[in-house]
Amino acid sequence: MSELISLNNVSKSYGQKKVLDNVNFSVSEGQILGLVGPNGAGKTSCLQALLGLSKYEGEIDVLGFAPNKQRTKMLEKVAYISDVAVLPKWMTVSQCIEYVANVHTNFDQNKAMAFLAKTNILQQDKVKALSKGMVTQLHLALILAIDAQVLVLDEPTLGLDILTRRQFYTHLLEDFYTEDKCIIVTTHQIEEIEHILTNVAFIKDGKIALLESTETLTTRFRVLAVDNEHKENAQQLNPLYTNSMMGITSMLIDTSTLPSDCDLPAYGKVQSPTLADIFVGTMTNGDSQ
Amino acid sequence: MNTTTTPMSDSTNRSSNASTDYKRVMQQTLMSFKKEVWEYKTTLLWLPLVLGSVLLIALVFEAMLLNDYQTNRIMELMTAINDGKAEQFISQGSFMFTHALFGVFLLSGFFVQLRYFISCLFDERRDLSIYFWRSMPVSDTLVIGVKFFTGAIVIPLVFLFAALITMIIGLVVLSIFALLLGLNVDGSLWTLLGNLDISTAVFSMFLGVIPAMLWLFPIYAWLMLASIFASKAPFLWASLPIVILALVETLLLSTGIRNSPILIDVITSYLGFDATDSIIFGMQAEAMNISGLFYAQAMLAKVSIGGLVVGSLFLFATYWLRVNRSHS
Repeated sequence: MSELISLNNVSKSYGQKKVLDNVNFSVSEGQILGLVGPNGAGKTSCLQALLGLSKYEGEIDVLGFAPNKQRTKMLEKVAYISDVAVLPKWMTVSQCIEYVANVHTNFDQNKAMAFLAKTNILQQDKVKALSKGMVTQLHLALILAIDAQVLVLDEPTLGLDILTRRQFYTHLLEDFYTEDKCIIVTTHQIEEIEHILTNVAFIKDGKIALLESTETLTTRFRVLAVDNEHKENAQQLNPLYTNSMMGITSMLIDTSTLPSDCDLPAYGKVQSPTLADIFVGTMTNGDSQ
Repeated sequence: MNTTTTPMSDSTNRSSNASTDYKRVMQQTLMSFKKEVWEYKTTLLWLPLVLGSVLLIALVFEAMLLNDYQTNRIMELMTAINDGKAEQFISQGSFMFTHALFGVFLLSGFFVQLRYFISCLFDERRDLSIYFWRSMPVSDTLVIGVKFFTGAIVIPLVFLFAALITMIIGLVVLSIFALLLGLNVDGSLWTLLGNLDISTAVFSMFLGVIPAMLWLFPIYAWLMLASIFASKAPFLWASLPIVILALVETLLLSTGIRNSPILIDVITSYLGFDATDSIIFGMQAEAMNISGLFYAQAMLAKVSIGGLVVGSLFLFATYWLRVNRSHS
């Protein structure tokens, strides 16, 4: 698997406020990376730097291009959806397609039309007349018709209903994803996309708090459900997160910090955590690499 | 398979790549101009159309409501034309008719230009569509360039063409009315139309578009800078700094700290034509008999190196802000 994106010691500040602090990660072919963090953590700043949309310190390489110097050339192979609301409202659907077809060398107009034919969107419709879900479909049709190697999605399903959100990710996998491409996606609704992610980066206060493959994460972390009798002993395992409810306490345990002879089942019932569990645990417990 | 490349094939590849790049940039440029026309369709297409229609309707009403004494006057005039005694009238009439009509269109076009420059980089940030535009492989240089030339060249040309079309339709309408009212005394209408010197004035105005762009370059670039810089109310950002500086200067003058106003002098002498401008004397001397280069020369006389440098700085600052500023 060759590396398509790499960030080395990337930092960015707005005045005194550091929004990115020595961020390092890479994404290879076939990977779908979820960049997850609370509001203001630096997700969008990270993606903007990655796309050459704002200044940054450090080194970024996307398909061999430096985004701050070769943004235009890079965007021929990189597609980007920042937010569903950004399609120009004055444009008609046919104008959107004509525009992208004329400025993007890797755009397949027939593919976009075929995608739109499956929706209720008409060529003469204006963007401002479309519902939020339809605008997303239109944007997705434009982006999926681009033969890009890297797809960057910044909260692409924000404000959409659950049906449209699921439809969005289904199309993404069916119509875009192949083993030689990669996707970076930021979202708040991690539970909805955890099944499609191959890797996860949790970002907190501009720093990468945790970066792992989802496979490793779900074996590395465990949720331990203990009763009150074993609660005190279990606390010695330094849980990242503790939640008590109806006499049962759930603890998120990072097994990489435990001694190799530690017998977790002796404390209580052991379960696999969801990414949302690990995210909450990581965010509430401070840095954990 | 032999994969060795020769200097000749390298050179052919480079030439082919350059040709492909050139074609792509040309295609992107044309599309970008088209996009500007789509976005400002109301002011670029509908406004000239409505303006022309209103003027033509007014002309038709005027022709329909002619009184007898007016018809008689026209009849006398047509007879004079036929006798070759109305050359001065034809010359002055051509001048007045052309300039009045084109003046209305050019003035409207100028206000459209100001509005365009003020909003062209502000609107895309207000509705966040800048993220869509910047997700496409179109360079910021091309975007800024296309927006500048749309405002400086395309808009005046659109309004000039609209004026020209209105004038042609107007002449056809007037000719029809003249024929219907029996005013074509012994073919005097054809003599009048044949002697109308409209082409020189029209040519002169079209030729003035590029000199006007060079002359007003600092103003256009300043408005674009305000458009990219302002978070709200770009018009205020464009006008307030100048108003404040002018007020401060006036205050300094009133307190005696300064003797003569610099800013106000610079602006008024750059933008205004005064009696000392040789071009004005030229105009007075050749009253209503202008050459095809008249407006181009008049505006080129106002172009200065300083103005071009200031305009370039404003335009570069506009480009820099679009590239480096976070637009969220």
